[in-house]
Amino acid sequence: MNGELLRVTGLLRRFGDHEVLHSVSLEVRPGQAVAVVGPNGSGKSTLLQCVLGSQRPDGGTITLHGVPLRESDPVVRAEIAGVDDSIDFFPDLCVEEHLGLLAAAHDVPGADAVVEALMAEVGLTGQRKQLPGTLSSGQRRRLALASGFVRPRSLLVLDEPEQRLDAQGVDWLIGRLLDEKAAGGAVLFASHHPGLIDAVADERCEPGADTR
Amino acid sequence: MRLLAQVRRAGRVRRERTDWATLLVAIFVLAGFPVQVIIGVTTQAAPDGTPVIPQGLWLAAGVLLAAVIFAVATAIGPLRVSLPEYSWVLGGPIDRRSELAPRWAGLLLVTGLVGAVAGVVGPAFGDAAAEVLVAGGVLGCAVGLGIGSAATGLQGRAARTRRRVQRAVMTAVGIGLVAATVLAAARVTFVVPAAVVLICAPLAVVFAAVCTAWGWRAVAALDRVALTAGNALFNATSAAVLFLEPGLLGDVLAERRLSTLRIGRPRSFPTGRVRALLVAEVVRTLRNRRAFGVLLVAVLVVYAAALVVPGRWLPVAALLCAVPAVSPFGTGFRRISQSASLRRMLGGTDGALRAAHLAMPAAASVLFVLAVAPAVPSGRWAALALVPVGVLVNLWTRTKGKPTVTADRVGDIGFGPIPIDLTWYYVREIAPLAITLALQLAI
Repeated sequence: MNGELLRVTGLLRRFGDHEVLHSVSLEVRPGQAVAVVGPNGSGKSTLLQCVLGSQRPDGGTITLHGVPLRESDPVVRAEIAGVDDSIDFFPDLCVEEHLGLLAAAHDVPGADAVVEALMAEVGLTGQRKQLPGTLSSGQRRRLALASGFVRPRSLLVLDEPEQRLDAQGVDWLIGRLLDEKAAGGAVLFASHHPGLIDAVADERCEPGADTR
Repeated sequence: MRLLAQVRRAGRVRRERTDWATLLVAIFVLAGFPVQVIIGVTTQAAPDGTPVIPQGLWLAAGVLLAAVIFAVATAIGPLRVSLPEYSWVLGGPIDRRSELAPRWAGLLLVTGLVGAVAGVVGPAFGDAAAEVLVAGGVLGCAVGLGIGSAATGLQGRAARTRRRVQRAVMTAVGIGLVAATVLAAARVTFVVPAAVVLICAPLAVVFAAVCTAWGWRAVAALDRVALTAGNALFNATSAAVLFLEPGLLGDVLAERRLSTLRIGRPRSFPTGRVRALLVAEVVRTLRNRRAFGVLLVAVLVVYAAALVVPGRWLPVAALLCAVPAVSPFGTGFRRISQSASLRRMLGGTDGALRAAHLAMPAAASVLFVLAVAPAVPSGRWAALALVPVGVLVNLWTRTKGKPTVTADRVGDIGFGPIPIDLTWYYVREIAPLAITLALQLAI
């Protein structure tokens, strides 16, 4: 294994008196997948949101390549692709345009071909002209995942990526994440799906284990 | 002195620096400034006596206002209930008409009264005879009742039908407004004959009776969709009024429109990050045709204002019209500024992303200025040139500004308590426009 990519040390997050994350630590290396597991309310999403920069921790440190992680840093944005519940789309760009814009914004070579292949992969070719607001929840989830896969990244952060996917979709996701690891990418994901966790995760992190 | 003492006391209790600024600027902006503007307009108008608004323009403006009220009432639905209210009260096995009748009666009372007042006040300015005032009141009341009832009747109809009626009414009124402006520009003045008012009044009563019967029948048939569909629009309208931000409403309207938009051929984007972002902005803007309609109407309003507003104040009128005109072009900027998720997805710095998405509103504001320039005296073009700056700074601060703190801090300035946080929010929101406006008048 190579050196660490992401390191979380002693992470603390409180909501009022309620401490959701208590001294959580984990490490993700290139080519490795870490699954964040635990029951509802154990702080899985909070942990991922802290890594993505959606939430500011009350204590502890998060570093990327040994440098404190700052969400607004363009280098961090170039390296981390995140898909969580807060993902947003331009409501007036159709599926193909949305993915095309993301690819162009990240200077992906041969963007049109990449988008075409990805749409076929996630099963959105038939919805290429549809606006996000007209997609079903499952199709929106596929678009969200495609938004993470269409751009270059070193670390993929996924919050319950299996949500709203059918069985075939979960199988595809497992294959995609295994390919991601094989290509040297790192994956940090939260999940309730035992099959996905068993197939993909190299290590597990249970943030609420010592606070329950 | 008593006021100063109270202000000092408030300052001693609350030591934040912003409180002093809040109190002072609040007094200046919320009280003194509008008074100065009114005094300025009236004293400017007095010497040559030319800015007398032709009766045709007054009439057109009144009809436009009534049409806008009708369009808004039709879009939101005059009889609107919240989802919990529907679920727990109206969703049960009850007589829906008897449940809704009191609020419908209240609605008609308000629209009828407002119409009656407008019908009396309008002719009163023209020194009309007593019978004309009475007929005007009856006419206004009937039109008000008709608007309330017709909007209720349409509430039960399909969205497509409502849109068609709205479009027809607004188009007819728009043509009338343009005609009135052209006539006023050509110095063709006319006075509505008293006989017309006396004849129209009974006709309007018949119209109101028909509409009321239609509305009464519709009340019992309003279903869950009809009663609750306008909630999002109502909430957006309330928020837009409360926070003085037309974009809050515009974005909801845009989302409603997008649900019916069909994309013929998806656009591909050029290589190069900035170019791709700019092209995407253009694509998105071109899909929002309403934005161009709003811009056109705002330009026409400035031309209409040029007939009645002294030249010195025209750049101010242009600035006030430019804000709602440019707002629909700022949808992308608002979206990117308010969505950390989108910024993370697109990558790059926040500043660069915002700058790229500011291009369309900037272009729209420059286009607006160029379009209204012929209506403004050449001596005031320097003041007019400040419009894009004011509009863009306004858009930037409103979108970027921190959300208001809803703490319950209250200051007493001698006229009663004022909510400090809310006042500070308003001041912060108005400040860029107020400063631009002051600069325009100073030039």
